[in-house]
Amino acid sequence: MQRRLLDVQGLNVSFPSGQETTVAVKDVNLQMQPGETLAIVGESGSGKSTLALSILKLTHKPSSVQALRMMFDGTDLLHLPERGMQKLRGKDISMVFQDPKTAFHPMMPLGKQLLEALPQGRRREKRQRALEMLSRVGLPDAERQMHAYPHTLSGGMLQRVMIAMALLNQPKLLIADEPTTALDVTVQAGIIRLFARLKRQFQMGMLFISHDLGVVAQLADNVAVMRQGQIVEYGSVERILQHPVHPYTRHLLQMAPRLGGTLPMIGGR
Amino acid sequence: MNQRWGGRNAILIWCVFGLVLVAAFYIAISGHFYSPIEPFVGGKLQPPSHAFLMGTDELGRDVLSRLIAATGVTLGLSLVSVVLAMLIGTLLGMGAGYNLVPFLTPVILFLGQISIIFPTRWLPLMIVALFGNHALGMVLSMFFSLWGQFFWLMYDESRGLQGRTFIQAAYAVGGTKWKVIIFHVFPYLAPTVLVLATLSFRTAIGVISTLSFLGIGLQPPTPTWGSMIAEAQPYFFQAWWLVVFPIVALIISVLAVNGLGNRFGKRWDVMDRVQGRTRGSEGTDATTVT
Repeated sequence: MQRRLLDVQGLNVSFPSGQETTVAVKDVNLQMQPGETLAIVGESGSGKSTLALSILKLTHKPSSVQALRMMFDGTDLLHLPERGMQKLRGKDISMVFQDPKTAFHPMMPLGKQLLEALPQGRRREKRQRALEMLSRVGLPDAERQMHAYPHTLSGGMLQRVMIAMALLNQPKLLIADEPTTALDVTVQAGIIRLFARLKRQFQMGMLFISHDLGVVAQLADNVAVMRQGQIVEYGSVERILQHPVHPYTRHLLQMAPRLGGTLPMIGGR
Repeated sequence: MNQRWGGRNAILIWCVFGLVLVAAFYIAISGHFYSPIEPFVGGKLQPPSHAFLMGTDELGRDVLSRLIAATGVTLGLSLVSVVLAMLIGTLLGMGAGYNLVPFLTPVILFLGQISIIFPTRWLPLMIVALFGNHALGMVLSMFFSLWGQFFWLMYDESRGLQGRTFIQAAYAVGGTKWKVIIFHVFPYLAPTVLVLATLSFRTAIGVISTLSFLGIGLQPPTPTWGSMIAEAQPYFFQAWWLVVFPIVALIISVLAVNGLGNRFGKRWDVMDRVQGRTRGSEGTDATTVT
């Protein structure tokens, strides 16, 4: 059997605050094959982003991440020391954040930030690779943008730069945390097409977090539906979209806006 | 051109700056500079004349030379203590904010508390009493009343930054704690620190001048602005030049430093972060000494 790219079992993430403890992710199991795209859908606050960050072990402190098993491509993430995680981050697993306008350092040229993902090698080669990647993600005038500061670019362009940065080391797993939510609808479509193309070209696994089922239908192989920190339904994208079993999934599907329809409300918890 | 040098106000500033340079050059080559502590280079209490451009004091010392020497002493010691406060406050603030040495953090926080619970004019008195009223005591007294501002600014800001996405993104591309601190946190906070340093410089000038004026600063015959004003007091009605020139020097330098700080603050848009953190800025700096 082929080695799994990601194998998470019994993952719990909780945030202690004073006497109480907030459990953000509850008993989650995930499996991904190499090259697979897994979409995690759910409403705001359902624990999607925390789940993504816990794979990188970057959850906001103080937090506790516990799991029965957390394997990435043969590496045991659960027992990997911080130093090992640092080598993994940005190289084997990289991440695209939700809002590109806050994810870049506001006072540093983009090129300098891009090269940070490439710690080794000669400066000139690194620049060459960065420029090449920028043109592959469809950023016009890449040479000039390397010297630009983040606020001079539009959200869509910045998101392309961030995607380029995430792909610089040809990661095995790309985590995209709602990469289109902060963008205009017209720009979103372009970014989604870009993801679909890059996924084929790089043959990488992708953990795609979204609450937009239209996007998920275009990109994902499998879908996990999250609610209140738990995965309530997990299956192939065709099955979930066409024959949803869990009532919450059905509600989510009804919520997807259609032209001319009225907006239904989701039931209480 | 205007853009680069900063507009019409800036041209005025550069003109004044140039004027001071020319004046300094003239004084140096025309033999107007006497020893600032040598008595009876001229008559007692002589009004400004060609030989003594700012007159002489009650011991026949040249006021201009004393003023120049006092400027060096006052601004020099202030600068040293501000730089010291900036370096140490910044380092400790980041150290505590990032919990770099966990068992030291409570100790640093306690020291930080001490530095800001004393009014800016009291703490220096205690320090001078402990360390003596020579240059080291002066620097230490200014340093101790200033470093807390830098400490708390850096502590709060570095803690605030930890939740920001771009700092988290720096970790997500494989950054280590130190790399993130040096390449992301520090460049982000540097303008704020610089503006605070400029405004602290103003406070430092106020502190050292107050101490000298009260007679617990640097001892005679070393001239400082504060001591020159204090010594001139009895002769105020006979010799206006003894009081006026040091006061003018003090006012101009405090206003200039203040203006510079505001300018930097506006340019880098960090004024709201610095505001409320400067101590001794209750508008009394220039006036307490007189």
